[in-house]
Amino acid sequence: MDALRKLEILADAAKYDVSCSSSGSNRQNKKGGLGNASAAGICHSWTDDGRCISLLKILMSNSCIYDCAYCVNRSSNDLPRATFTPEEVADITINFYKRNYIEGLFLSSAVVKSPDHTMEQFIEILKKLRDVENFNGYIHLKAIPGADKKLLDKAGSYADRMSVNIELPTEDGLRMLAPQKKQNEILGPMNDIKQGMLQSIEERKIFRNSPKFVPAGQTTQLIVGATKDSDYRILKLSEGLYNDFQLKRVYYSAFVPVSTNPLLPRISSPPLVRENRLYQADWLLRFYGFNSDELLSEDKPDFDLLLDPKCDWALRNIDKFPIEINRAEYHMLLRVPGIGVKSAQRIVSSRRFCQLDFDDLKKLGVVLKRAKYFITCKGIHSGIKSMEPVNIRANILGDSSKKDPRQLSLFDLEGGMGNDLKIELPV
Amino acid sequence: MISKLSYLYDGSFEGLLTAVWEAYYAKEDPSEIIWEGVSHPNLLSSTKMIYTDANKADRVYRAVEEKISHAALRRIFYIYLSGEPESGIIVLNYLRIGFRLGAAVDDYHAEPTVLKSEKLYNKVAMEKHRQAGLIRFKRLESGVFYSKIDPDHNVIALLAPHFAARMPSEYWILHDAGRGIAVFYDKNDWVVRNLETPEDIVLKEEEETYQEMWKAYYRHLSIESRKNMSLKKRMMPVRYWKNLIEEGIELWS
Repeated sequence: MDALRKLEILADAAKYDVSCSSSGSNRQNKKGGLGNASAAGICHSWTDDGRCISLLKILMSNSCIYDCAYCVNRSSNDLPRATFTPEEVADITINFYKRNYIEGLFLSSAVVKSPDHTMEQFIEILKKLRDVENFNGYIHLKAIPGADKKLLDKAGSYADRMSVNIELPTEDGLRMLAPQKKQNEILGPMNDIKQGMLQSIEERKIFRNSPKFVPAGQTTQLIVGATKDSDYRILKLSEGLYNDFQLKRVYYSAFVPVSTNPLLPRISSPPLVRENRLYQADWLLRFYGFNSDELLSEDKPDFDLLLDPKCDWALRNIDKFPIEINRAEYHMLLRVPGIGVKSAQRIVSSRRFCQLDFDDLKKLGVVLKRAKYFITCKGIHSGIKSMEPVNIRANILGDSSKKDPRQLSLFDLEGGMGNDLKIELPV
Repeated sequence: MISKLSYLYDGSFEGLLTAVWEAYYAKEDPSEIIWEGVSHPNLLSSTKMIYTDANKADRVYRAVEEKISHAALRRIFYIYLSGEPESGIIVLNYLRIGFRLGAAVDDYHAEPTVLKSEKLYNKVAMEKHRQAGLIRFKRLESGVFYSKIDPDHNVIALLAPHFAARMPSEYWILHDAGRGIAVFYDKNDWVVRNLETPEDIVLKEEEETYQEMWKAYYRHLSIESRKNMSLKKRMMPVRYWKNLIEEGIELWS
């Protein structure tokens, strides 16, 4: 089989992994080398589904020894199989990079023969790229659960980012759909990667040249909608991963039905709105100072599909509003629907020069359509008379009824220039 | 009747800085500062030629850096590169506020001129960032990597350091075909020179292989059930597609 055919098969197999970011690492080029990594990340193209293409995202192989129900590569599925040689992966990466098609490589794989064997093949590829070709572009590697820790360490010293996909948010889900995977086999490597990163940071305080370990941090992916897990359980898990495992990002992937296994839910299209709500809530956790218990609870376990999580929170806490734009503290500004991190910062710096009015807010990028119910400007409120949540809610939904909630949008200006999954920020 | 005063300059950055110097020292308040090549004489306006003076330009340059900030210097350079007709007067008005407020000027987001300068700066910065990803090099028979681009703003000189750091050991050319200029890199330094669209260019044989692979990869990456072309077009405006191999352009065009 030629490399072109393999590429078709192994790109197809990798496309359901939604992580596409090339950010967070600023690996410099060395003399005579090729490539560097840009901390802000760079998108090189966009697919027809609107996702950014930044890395050559492929599987090394789709020949898997496991048979997970949700996965297109499960061993019982009848589909063409292919495996790249290390030379092929290195050659395509280098030549795509020189033509500026990509920022680097995102390498994943089905589990070939054994977790250790697969990991060893990965290391072969990374050695070829880094040591032989002198390649300093971005490399994101999938850690294979169950592989030996020594192999994980070795791989981590070559990669910019590593990730272990959790896929299913609860042990129950795993037991049902991926009985050969164990939760501790996933969390184990995650913890090892975290320890490796911490250790490398400590060592670099003493020896400036000691090698970096996964400098862009680790990420994971959760599939949404393949099991009955609520948004609350998923968000709780993410919060734990950020706090306890210091993950850089958690990606959420709406379940795309790729098989007709009776254990899987029958749906006609992926739950994209739910995926979007989770991303918005995730943003609120990481940049807006919210915690998961403020957003959801056992009594209210799922997000409102019509209203973004921040609006929803504000309506449930209407007693805290309206706030005066010219006096409110930064952390309260962040909690106003229609005000994002960037506009909150701009409000704080601009109001040093003069008192702001509604016109000024518009110029600073505040979405007044939503914010007006929750703020006053120089004492003036321009929302509706009633501060009753039901009335405000009706007005907000009336304003946005024309908008298709499926349209995920907005440039990710907060985390660098458009380097990541494009989602609607919870402004 | 009030007559408007227009400054005409030669289109160089030094020329624009000389115009700023002139406005300050002649105590004049021009209503536009435009490139003489695009000016249209108007009965209601009087014009004044600005003759580029490296000394005056240098004094303004250093004053901006010392009295405002390095960021302000970068901002006016980007605004200049935007090539927009109003860029000259925005630079002058922005600097007037800047010399009054110092480095804090960029925090004054609600001030109309500062806001305009920020918008124009962002447009150019955005295009620079986008082009860094959307440029496609093709390998020529001679081994040189060549790329033709058509950016809205004059950004090739901003992109040159990016590629010099990435591909220090290759020869490459970044060609802004619309403006007839190109960056040439010779494994040590880069320079900007005039370049008309070359006619007799031969691609290296391997080029076809990698272009086919890239197209195949691109085709196989989309998830049909998530298709969303309007999102794609918002992220990657259609006007950029003509130079993208993956959008089906011919091997050589």
